[in-house]
Amino acid sequence: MTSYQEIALDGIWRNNPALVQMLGLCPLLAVSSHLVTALGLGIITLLVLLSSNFLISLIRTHLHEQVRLPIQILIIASSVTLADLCLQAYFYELHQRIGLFVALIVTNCTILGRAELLASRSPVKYALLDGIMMGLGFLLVLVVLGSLREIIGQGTLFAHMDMILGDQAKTLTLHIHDFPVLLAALPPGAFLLFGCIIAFKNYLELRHERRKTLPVSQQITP
Amino acid sequence: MVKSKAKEVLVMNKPVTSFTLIALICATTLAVTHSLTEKQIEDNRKNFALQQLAQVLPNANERIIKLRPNSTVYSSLLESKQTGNILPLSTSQGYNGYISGWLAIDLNRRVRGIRIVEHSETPGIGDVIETTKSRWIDQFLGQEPDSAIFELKLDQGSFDHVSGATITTRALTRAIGKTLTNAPQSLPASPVVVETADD
Repeated sequence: MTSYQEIALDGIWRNNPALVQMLGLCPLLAVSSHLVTALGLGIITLLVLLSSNFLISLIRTHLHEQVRLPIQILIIASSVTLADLCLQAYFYELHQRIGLFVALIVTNCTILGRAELLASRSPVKYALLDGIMMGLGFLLVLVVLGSLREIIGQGTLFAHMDMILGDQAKTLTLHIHDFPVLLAALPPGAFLLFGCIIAFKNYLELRHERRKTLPVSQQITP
Repeated sequence: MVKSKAKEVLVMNKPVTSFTLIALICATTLAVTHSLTEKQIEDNRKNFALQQLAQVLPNANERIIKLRPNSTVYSSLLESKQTGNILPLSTSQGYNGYISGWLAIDLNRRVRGIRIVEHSETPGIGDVIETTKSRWIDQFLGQEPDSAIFELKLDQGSFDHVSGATITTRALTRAIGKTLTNAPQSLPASPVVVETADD
């Protein structure tokens, strides 16, 4: 496998920031009560991760040991502030809902982790790909968790999508059932569902592993 | 000798130089973005506040106008008869600082409705002040400046606090009391300048 594929697989699946590294769970669990807020924060995290990875990789030769971390945090914080300002200017309603957690992206360990582990010691092309893939991995988990919680907890899907897509998306809301389960909308429900998603991922991996080893064991047993 | 010393200083300061440069670039980018988005953000904020203004009144048929163009106070009218005023409510004593909103009162300074527009209180704890999250703020409805002591019961006042959100509820209780006591008592008999709220 080429290192491109390695990086892509790492970000989305094998080393997924949320499911495997379990980083950035505070915003993940807090904004996933609706698909729209989950999608919003996921996209912003992806963009911030992409820009911080790109910039840090770009200046990696100037990162002196003594100031490496401060510079990385500076770049991450600036990207987040930039994203926050744009969100306030163009998606004000969404900002009212997730504004607090946008500021918290600065403390999301995924971003500093990727900067420290990969971007500060790899060429720009790898850093960019890693930013996209890690960001997508995080976004994917957010979207799945957001959809599940909205369907179970509110009985709807795509509610308030106009906050991202503009007024014509107001009619997108799907009413799926009329028995909202409050637990799914509350923080404990977020933890439970998140646990289920991790378990499901582990199950898939285990099954995959077993299939690979099965022919070998069959050879031994007879 | 002198030259090599200068070079040494430069090498030693290399991290400082690169850090300063990057900080400068970041600061400039942010300053430019801020100046570009400032007006839009201010507009959004105003629009949102006006949107909330329309919802503070219990009666949807009432019109909201400004009686004096430069005042921050809005007035509510029902069939061209003034029913009361809507005052801006604000405090900086919240748990996370600034809280702002609208306070609707009738001509006798009795509270008709309160709505919080902006706050950064802790989600799930301090956001009980939002009407969509909790009915806590309803205990102020119908109160007048002299009908109650605008402090929490645990400060020998008249209002309940919310456990875990004492600072938030205390700040808001005091702000409501202060806004209410400072509210204008006498009002002009007829509208001087009619300016609708959605202008």
